[in-house]
Amino acid sequence: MSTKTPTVPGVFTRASSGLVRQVGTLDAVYYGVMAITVAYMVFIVAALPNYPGASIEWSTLITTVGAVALGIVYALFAAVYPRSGGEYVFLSRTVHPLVGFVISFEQTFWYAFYFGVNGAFFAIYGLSPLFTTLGLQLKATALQNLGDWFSTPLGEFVAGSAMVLLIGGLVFRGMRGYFRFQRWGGTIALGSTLLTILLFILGTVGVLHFQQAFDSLAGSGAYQKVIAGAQAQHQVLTWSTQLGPTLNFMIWPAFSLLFSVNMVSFSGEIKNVRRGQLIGIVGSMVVSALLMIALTFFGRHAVGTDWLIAASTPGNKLGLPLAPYLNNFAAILANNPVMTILVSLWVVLVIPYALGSNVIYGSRAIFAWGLDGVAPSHAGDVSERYHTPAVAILTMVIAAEIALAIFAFTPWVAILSGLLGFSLAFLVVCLTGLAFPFWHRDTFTNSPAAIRWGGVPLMTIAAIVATPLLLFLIWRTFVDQTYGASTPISIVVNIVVFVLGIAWFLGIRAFRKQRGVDVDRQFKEIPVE
Amino acid sequence: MPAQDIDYVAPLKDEKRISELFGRLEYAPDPAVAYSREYGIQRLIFHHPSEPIKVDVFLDVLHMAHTIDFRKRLPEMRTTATITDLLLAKLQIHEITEKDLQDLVAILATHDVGGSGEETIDLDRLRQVLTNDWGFEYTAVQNLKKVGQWVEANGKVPPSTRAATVARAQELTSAVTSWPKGLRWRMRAAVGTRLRWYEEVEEVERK
Repeated sequence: MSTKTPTVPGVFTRASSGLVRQVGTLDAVYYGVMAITVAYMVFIVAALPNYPGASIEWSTLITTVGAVALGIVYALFAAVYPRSGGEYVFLSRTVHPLVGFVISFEQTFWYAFYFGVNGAFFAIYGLSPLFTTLGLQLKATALQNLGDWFSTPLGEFVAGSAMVLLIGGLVFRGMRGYFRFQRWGGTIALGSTLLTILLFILGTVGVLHFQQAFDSLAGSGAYQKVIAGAQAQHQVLTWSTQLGPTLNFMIWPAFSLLFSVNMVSFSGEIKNVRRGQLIGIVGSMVVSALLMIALTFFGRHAVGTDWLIAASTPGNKLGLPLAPYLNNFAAILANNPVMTILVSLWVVLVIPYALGSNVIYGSRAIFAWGLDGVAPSHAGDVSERYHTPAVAILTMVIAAEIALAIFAFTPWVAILSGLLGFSLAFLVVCLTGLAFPFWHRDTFTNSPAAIRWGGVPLMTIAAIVATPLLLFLIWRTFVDQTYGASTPISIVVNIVVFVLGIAWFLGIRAFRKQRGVDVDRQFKEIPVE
Repeated sequence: MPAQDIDYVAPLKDEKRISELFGRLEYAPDPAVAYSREYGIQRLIFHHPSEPIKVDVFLDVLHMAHTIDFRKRLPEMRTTATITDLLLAKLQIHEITEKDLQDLVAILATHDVGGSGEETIDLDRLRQVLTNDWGFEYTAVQNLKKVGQWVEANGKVPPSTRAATVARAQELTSAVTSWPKGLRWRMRAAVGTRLRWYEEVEEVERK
């Protein structure tokens, strides 16, 4: 390569024979929306009766502000270190290898857990409502029974296992194919979400009548009986927007909205280093938040806010063998089997890609550990045929099956069990982002992340905005009794994972040192991809 | 001094055999490329075990700032790529370097325009590639302009080489810009350079 000064404008001195990254911005947005998993609205709305006075819409909006700020911190780190492997890469190179590994280990543990648990969610919130509602509408007992079966432990395990193996296999065959399937699935799921919102709008303006449709299925007066049942339990049914409950409810939309940040697991492959991840992470958060707010707002107006709270009140009876989920309500409102299938797709098609984001994050982290020597070197093995991290993916599949079995057959874990661990990891990234522009001034200044507002680094501003949300979430996971994020076993597992991560790193570093390998040297360099 | 940067084009289906061949020759696969293959990168890069020799193997396509599809061209190639494909490989570069300009001079100064032989610049092939892709055509025309300016400004280039290069660059520019274009080309041309018209190319790094 010549180093002479160019004599013609627009002639460059650096090599022009490099690689073209393959993941476009649109694929990144799709990935982010899938990782956020709008389908979680099914159980997020069902949690409402536990927070009397909470506004889901305002809670989602406030959470979105903090989530976007966190997303900016992540995206800017990815612009500084455009390499695959997640937080592990930039925390190990900027804070300390131990911190990078422990956060990565802890995140990977919980992603493996949710890789399995999302398989169960596919059965509980996707297949079971679909078949049960179809069975009711078509008066087909076999379909109803099938729907019921998918909500049994065995049904959850069988359907969940099938999904874990299917998604694990898809990721094993390579990310090119995965993104192609994601584009198809994502487009259909988005169409289904918009159709569901449209149905709710029609219900809101009175074109469709939920009460009438519900009574025609459950019997005359059934709608009012649901409200009376909740009132008998002294459930607050009136809608009010109180700050305290609204803030407390943030734990639910946060469990969904924060997770598009995990696309940093393949930062090395996303086009447009400067803006690709920023658009991907923040764009997917904003799109998802708008969909979530629209689903809730029009959903509760279509079915009746008081009825929605009454139907979700624990112990109250619907008068139908159905769970109080938004997709069921949309199907009842449409009162048509074909529409039931169409409005189920935003749950049935989105949850599998949530599994995908789980296994992609975890396998890339394990793969990066293998390359750095903090895991057995086989963790860095790549399939000869598909060029994918085969051992890392297999490890995630095995871990997911164990997690799925525990979730399905024991009462030990609950939906939010991992939120504490995730929030702690996000907080560490946030605090690092707060200090990074000053701590690693040269690296920051010479990177695409050197964006300043009023002279203050955007990364620092974003970290300042996101930190209170994360601190609040961590506090709420300790005190919120709903769905068991604060159960002793959840907290114990979170602590054990951290301790195990520290022991693993220190142990393997000592082991390598005995054999003359200095693991720490790896962290002075940026990984290849 | 041996060649330091060797480029090959090969069918995608032969990827395994190619990897085995370079493995036998003790060349090391570049990890940056090896780990990106699952995302769809159709390219292999190997490094010589002791010399600073890098071998690029483009599988079916050259996908850089712009894309050149070699699938139908491969059966026609005997031992090397045709001069027209070599020219296209240089004209597609968005961030062109002085070395690339030297290569362009070498191609343009020594090869006639017209005809379909391996050693003449085949206008039909250029037309086939460029009339469907406004972005590629725009980059190619810019590079033809740059090579003309560069060779005019460079006193070390012999006058006959300079004259031949400038004349052929102008001839190609006239030909390329005069060809009738399709609807897709015209629609993209209406947007122009307000939208990025090329793929960003990353450095290949070894650590």
